[in-house]
Amino acid sequence: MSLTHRKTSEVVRQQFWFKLKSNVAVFTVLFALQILLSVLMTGPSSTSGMGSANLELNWSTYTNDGIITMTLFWSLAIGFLMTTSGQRNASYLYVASPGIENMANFLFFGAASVIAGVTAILSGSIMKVILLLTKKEQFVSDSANLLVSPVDFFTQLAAMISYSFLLMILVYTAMLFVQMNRLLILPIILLVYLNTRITSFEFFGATGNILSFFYGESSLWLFTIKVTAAVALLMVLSVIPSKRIEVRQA
Amino acid sequence: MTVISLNQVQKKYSRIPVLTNVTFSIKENVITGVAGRNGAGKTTLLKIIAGFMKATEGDVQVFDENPFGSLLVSANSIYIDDAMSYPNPMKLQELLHEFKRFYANWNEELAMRLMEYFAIPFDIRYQFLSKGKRSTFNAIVGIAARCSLTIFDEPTTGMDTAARNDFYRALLKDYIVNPRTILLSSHYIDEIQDIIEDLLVIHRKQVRYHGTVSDLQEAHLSLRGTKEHLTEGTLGKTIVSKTRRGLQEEWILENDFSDAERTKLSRLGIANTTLSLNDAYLALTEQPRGGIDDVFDTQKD
Repeated sequence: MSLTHRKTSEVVRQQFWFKLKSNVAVFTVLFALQILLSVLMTGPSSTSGMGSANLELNWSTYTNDGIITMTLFWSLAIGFLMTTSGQRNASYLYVASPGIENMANFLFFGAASVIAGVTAILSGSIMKVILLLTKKEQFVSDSANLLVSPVDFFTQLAAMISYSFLLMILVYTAMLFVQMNRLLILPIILLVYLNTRITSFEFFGATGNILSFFYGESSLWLFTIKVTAAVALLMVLSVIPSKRIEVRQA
Repeated sequence: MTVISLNQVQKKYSRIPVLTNVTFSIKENVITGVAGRNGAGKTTLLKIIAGFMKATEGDVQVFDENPFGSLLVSANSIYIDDAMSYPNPMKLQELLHEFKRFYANWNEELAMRLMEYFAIPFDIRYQFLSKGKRSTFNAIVGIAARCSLTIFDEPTTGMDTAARNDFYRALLKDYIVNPRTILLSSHYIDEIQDIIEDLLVIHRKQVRYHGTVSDLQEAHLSLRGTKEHLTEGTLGKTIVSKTRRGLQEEWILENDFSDAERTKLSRLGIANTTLSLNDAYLALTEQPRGGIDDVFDTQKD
């Protein structure tokens, strides 16, 4: 019997579609949570008022920040999910290799972050529609709108997709390292702790905070470059642990 | 052509050795039975060959490549066991469709016919199948994938007798049309006896025997006679097991008897017979019949 030689790119594509099909449920969960939050969050996040003798002004602020936060948490969970043994074992029921598994996962993260980003940003539009239909008060929108300020709208979209993708890959790579050596969880926890507790810390002479490195970037282009560089670095790093992981250990 | 070759392979699970000094090679298109007691290291060995696990030491070559992380080995091999972790939301039909996409030699028609024959519904999820049906489904996958290297690790767990027989027959029939290298592990030597050519016995983390089935049977001899006669006739021979059968005793010995010695045996009235493969295997893996009796026999002499 002659041996079959498969092209890596072809198998990556097959694994990617397989991952999408076998993980439909995670998207259902995302949509359900987004819809639920869209409805729940149509209450004002803050209400303020001011007035003089003959004029009184009351305003309420509505925001989809909650949906954005929830979507980012979902991204975190997706990054974690793809490192679980169940996911890997399922891939290895079919044709797979560590490299293929990684690349298919990255493609999956790409698709998942686009879906998550688009739906999270559009949830703002859904909220506007709900507010317009249910509230009698004057409606003022200061959020980026596709028709009024398309550049801002797409910037929001790109940022959301980038954050989501970055989170997935970050958690994925970190968890792969933890699987390689459980003790590595300690420096990771320390790093996360330092990033949330201290706004700036000195690390090998460089002052800064990993979060503000991305979050504080006001230029879209620089932000894109930073995210791309970080993603590339994480992708390369993830190769190290993934090559050692043993699979289908029931 | 040699498909699998292992040289001085060792495997440890965090310092606990599970395989030591494993060296053997398997030629193309041979059906090899893999046997051994519980915990002997069969599954670990098969998973190392499939490329799922990494040997701690030693050299493993499958299709002239290190199988761990190899795309070539993955594309040309399939590993069937009773812990296939299919994704929950997918129905059997979809799972089969995935196998078709991934495996170049997949025989869709055969898979469909086998599914129908074994009465497994297509539009059901794997976890809703009974234990035996799950094994049958996996076995169908293993046969229809037509991989150059097909590994079955205890494929018949939970199958009823009819399904077992059908499976072995289907495997053999498809093998005749499409020869491939098959590794088949089972605890029921009798069942696989008719389809395996070679037997690989793993015992105490090592290869205890690798060779043809008939050679193994000829390596041992079963003798029946009275205790006195047996003691006299088998002086200096390696006795594997002793069982009392009424007035007579049955001893299993390593077969290194010369013609003269055989003549002496028959003069003493000792009947000698070839062992069944199962008995030979049990003797090899130190599972003497009646061995468990000793546990309950508190008045040992």
